[in-house]
Amino acid sequence: MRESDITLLLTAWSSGNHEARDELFGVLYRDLHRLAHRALADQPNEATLDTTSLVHELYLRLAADFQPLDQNRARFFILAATVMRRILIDRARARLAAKRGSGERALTLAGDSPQPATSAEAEEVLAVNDALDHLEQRDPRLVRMVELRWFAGFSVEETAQLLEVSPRTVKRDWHKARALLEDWLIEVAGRPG
Amino acid sequence: MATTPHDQDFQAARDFKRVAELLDELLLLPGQARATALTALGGDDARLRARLARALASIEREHGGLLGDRAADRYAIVCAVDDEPASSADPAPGSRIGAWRIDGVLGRGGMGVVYAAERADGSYRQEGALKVMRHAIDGALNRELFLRERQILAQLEHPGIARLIDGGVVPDGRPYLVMERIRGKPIPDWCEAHALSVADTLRTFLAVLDAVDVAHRNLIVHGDLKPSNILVTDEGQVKLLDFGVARLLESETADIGGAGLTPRYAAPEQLAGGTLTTATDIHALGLVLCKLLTGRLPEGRAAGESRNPHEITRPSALARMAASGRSDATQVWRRRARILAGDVDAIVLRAIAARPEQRYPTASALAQDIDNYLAGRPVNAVATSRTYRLRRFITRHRAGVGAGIVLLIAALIATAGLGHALLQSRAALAAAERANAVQSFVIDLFREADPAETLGHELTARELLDLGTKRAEQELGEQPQTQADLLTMLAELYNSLGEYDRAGTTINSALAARRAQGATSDPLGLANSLYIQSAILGQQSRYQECVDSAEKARTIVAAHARNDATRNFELLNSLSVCHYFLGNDAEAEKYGRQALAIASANPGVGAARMLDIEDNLGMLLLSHHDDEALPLLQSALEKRRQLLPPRHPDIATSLSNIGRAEIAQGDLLAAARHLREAFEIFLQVYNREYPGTLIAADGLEIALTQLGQLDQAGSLGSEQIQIVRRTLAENDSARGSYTNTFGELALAQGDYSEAEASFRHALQTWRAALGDRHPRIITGERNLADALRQRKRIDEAREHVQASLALARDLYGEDTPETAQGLRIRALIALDGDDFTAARTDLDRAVALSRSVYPKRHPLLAWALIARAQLARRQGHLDDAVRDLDEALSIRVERLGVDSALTVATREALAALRKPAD
Repeated sequence: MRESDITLLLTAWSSGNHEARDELFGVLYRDLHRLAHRALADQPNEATLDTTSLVHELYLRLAADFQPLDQNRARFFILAATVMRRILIDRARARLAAKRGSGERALTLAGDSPQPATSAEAEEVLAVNDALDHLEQRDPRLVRMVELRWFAGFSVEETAQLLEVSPRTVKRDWHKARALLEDWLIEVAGRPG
Repeated sequence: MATTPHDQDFQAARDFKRVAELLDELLLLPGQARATALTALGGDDARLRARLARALASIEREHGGLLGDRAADRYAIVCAVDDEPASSADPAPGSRIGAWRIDGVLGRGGMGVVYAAERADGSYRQEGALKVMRHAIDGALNRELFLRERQILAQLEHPGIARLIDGGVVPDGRPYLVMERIRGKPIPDWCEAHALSVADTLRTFLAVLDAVDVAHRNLIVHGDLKPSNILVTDEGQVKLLDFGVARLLESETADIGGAGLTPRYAAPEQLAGGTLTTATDIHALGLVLCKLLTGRLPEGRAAGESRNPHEITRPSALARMAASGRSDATQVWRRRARILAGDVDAIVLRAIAARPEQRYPTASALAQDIDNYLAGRPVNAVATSRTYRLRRFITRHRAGVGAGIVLLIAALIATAGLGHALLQSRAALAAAERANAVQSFVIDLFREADPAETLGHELTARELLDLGTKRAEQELGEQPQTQADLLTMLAELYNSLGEYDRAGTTINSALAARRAQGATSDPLGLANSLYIQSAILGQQSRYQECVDSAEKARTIVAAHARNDATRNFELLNSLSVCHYFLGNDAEAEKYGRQALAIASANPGVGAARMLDIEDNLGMLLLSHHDDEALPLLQSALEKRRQLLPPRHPDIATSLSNIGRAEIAQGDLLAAARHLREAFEIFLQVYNREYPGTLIAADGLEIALTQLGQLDQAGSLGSEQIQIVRRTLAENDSARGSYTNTFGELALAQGDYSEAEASFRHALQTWRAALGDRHPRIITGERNLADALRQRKRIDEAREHVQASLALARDLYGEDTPETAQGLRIRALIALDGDDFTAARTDLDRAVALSRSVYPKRHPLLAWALIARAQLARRQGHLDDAVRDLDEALSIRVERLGVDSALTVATREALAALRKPAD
C-alpha cells in the first residue's frame, strides 16, 4: 500500500468511515509486524521488543510521505498501539504454542512494556488481553491508555498528549488499570497473589 | 459455594466488570470514606469486597507513598473480616474474660482478635486492649512458661511501651493478654500527618529506640516490630505495642517465627527459623526507619526473601524512586533523596545487614549513630569507608579533570580541617564537631561527583560547588553555625575559581546565617566570613567595601584572637591589596609590610602565603616604579617553583606579575615571554575567561603592542575585548583597564576612532569604580588626549592632557614617570599647533625626566627622543634630530629587537633624515 493511501484512510477514518479504520489496521499490522520481526532478527539475544521505537519508526517512515494532520497523528498512534497489542498477543500465542510448559519465570505488572519472553509472561500478556476485552465496553479510554502505555510503551506525557487528557489523569487511570489487571490476574487467570 | 473451577473462573470474570464498576464509584469518594463505603457495599458478597479492598489498597499505595502501609492495613482489616467470618468461639460484646468485660472488636491481626475491654471486677476503672490468641496452649508446661513470661513482661515499665496489664487463658485453652489501651496513630501516619522532616523523623525514631533499648536491657525482645505496632499518641508519645508477644507465642506454640509473624518486617534469620534476638529487633527497626523516611521498604523485602547486601536498595534510592512515581511530590522526594544519601543510607543499611553480627549491636548503638548524624558528627556506619572513598575519588580525578579539581579538593580538605587549628580551647569541641560536619558534607559532595552516581557525567568544580551551596542552604537550616562555616568555605572556593558573583551571593548567605544566630555567638566565625567577604569584594573591584569588611574583621580578631598570626596576616594582606587598588599607596605599603613582618616571624603562616605578600608588595612597589619590585617578585617565583608543580596557577600568577614588572622596567621581550607562559598555564588549568587568564592576556597584549608586534597583539586583543565585554560588569575597574589596553592597541594600529572610544569607555569605567582622583585617571586622560590629537581635535586633546598632568602633580608631585609621558603628549599637541617653543620646553623636560625616572634605556625614553627628533626636524635642526633618532634606534634594537616594526620604522626615519645630508 502506498503512503498516500494511508493519508486517505486516515482522513476517511476521521470522517467516520470504520471500514477505513479496519483497513488501516491491516496495513499497520503488516508493517509493524515486519519491523518487529526485523528488530528481533537484528538482535537475536534481545528477547524484548522496544515497541515504542517500532511504532515511532513506522510513523516516521509513513510521515516522510504523507503530511499528517495533528489529529491524524494522534489517531495514528492510538491505532498503532492497538495494533501493537495485537502483534504481541499473537506473539504470545505463538510462544505458548511452541514452548508450552517450559522456562517459567515470575513477572509482575510493574514494568512499562510487556516482553513475552517466557511462557509465563506470554500467559500474562494473554490474560491482560482478556481483561482488556472485558473492559472495552465499560471504559474504552482506560483500554486505549493501557495499550499506549503497556503495549506500545509510550510515556505518561506522550499518552496524555495522544489521549488529550492531563498526565495526572493518565497516572490515575494507570493505577486503576493496574489494580484491575491485578485483580484479573489473581482472580480470573488464577495467578497467585 | 460448590462450583467447578470453570464455573469459578466464569463467575470471577463476570464479577470483574462489577469490580471495575464499583471501583469507579469508590474512587469518587474521599479517601477516608472508602473503607466505610466498602463495608456497606456488595451486600453479603465477601469475595467481591475483598477484591475491591485489594484494588483500593493497590491504588492508594501508588498515590499515597507514606500512606501505603496504612492503606494496605486499613483494607486488610476489611478483607480479614470478610475472609474470616466471626468465629462462634469469639466472645460476644458484654461477655467477660477473666476480670475483663468485652466492649467490642478493635481489630484483627495475624495473631488473633483484639477487643476493647474494661476491667469489670469492681476493683477500679481501667481500660484495656484484650487480645485473644489464635491458637490454644497445649500442655501444662507451656501454660506455665506463658504465665511466667507474662509476669516478666508485666514488670516492663517504660513510657514508650504499652504496658501489659493482665493475661490468662480462656476456657478453650487460648491465651489472652490485656495491654494498656493506646489511642494513637501508627508512626508512619503520625510522621506524615506532621509532615516531619528527616531530622524530626529521626528524632521521633530515637524515642522508639529508647523504649526498645530498655526492653532489651531487661532481656525482652519484641520480635514483631512493624509500623502498626509503633503508635504515637496525640501528645507525641511513642508507644510500642505487643512487646514480647511474639516471644510469648514462641514459648506457647513452639512454632519459631511462626504464627502472626509479619514477613515484610522479619529478619532473614527469623525467616530461616532461627531464634529471636535483639539483633532481630534491630533489623526490624532499620526497616521501619526506612519505611518512615522513604515510604518504602528496601527492594526485595516485600516478599521477605533473603538477599545479599548488594541487592539492597539504599533509602536514598528508594526516595528517588518515590520521586519518579509522583509528579506532585517529585521535588520533595528528590530533595529527601539527597538528604538521605550518605550517612542515613549507611545507618539504615547497617541496621538491616543480612548477618546479625554486622548490625548495630544494640538499639542504643543505633540511637547513638542517629544522634551523631543529627549533631553533624561522623557516623560510625560510614567511618571505615570514608577515607577509602576520598582516596578513590582523588585518584580517579587526578588524571581526568586536571589540576583545577585536584586543587579544589585540596582546598576543601584543608579548609574543612582548618577549624581545629584556629580555635581556642573553650569552643574547641563544638568547632571540631562543626569541622567534622563540614568534612562529611564535603565528602558527600565528592560522592555526588562520582560518575557512577551522576550517570557518567563528571561534575565540574563549579557544578560541585553549586551542588554544595544548594545543599548547604536547603539542608543545614537547623545548624546555622555549620551552615555559615560551610557557605563561607564555598564562597572562598568560588572566589578561587574566579566566580566572583557566586562567591559574593554565597558569602552574603553565610553572613546572613551568622546574623540569624546572633553575631556574638561565634565571633571568630564571623571574622572569618568577613575576611572572605573582603577578599571577594576586592576581586569584584569594590575596594572601599573590601576595606570596610576587612577592618570589621580586624576589630573582632583584635578582641578575640590578637595572637592569631594567620588571621592577622590574611587581614593585613587583604587591607594592603584593597588600599593599593584604592590608590592609597602609603596605606597599602604599610599594611603589606606589616603582613610581611608577621609572616617572617611566624612560620605557621606558611611559606606559600608569605610569597603571596611578597608578590603583592612587589606589585605595589611596581606601581611607583620602585626597583625593589622585580627582585621581590622574582624571589617569590623561585620559592614557588621549589614548592609547587611547574604548571601550578600560583606560578602563573608569579610569571604574570614578573611580566608586568618587566614591562614597567622596559624589558619587553622578557615580559612577553613570561606573560605568554602565564597565559598558557592559566588557560590550561582554568579557562580563557578566568580572571588570571584575562590579566595575563592583558599584560601580553600590552607587551606585544609596545613591541610593535601588532598582528599578534591584534588577534589577542580582539579576542580579549569580546570576553571582557561579555563577562565583566560595566563598573568593574578591571574592565576599564582591559578596555584601555585595547585602546592603546587601536592607537598603535592607527585606528584612532576606536582608540578614542575605548579610552572614553575606560575612563568612564574607572571613574565609576575608582573615583575621579585615582592614578588610573592620569593614564586615561593622557591616552584620550593622544587619540584626540591624532584625530586633529587639538583643543580637546590639550584639555585632557592638562587634566592628566594636573592630577599627576596632585597625586605624586613634579618629576614623576607620569609627568614624563604627559609632557611628551602635550609637546606633540603643541607641535601640531606649530607652537615650537612650548613643544621644545616640554620635550627637553620629558627626555630629561625619562632618563632619570625610568630604568636605563627604557622604551619610553625612545618615544620621547623620537618626539624631540620630530621637533628638531621641523625646526631644521637635522643634526639634533639624527642624534636623538640614533639613540632611540639603539634603544629599540635592544629592547624591541631588530625585527620589530617600531625598530624598522625608526631605522627608516633615520635613513630618510641622513639622505639629504649625504
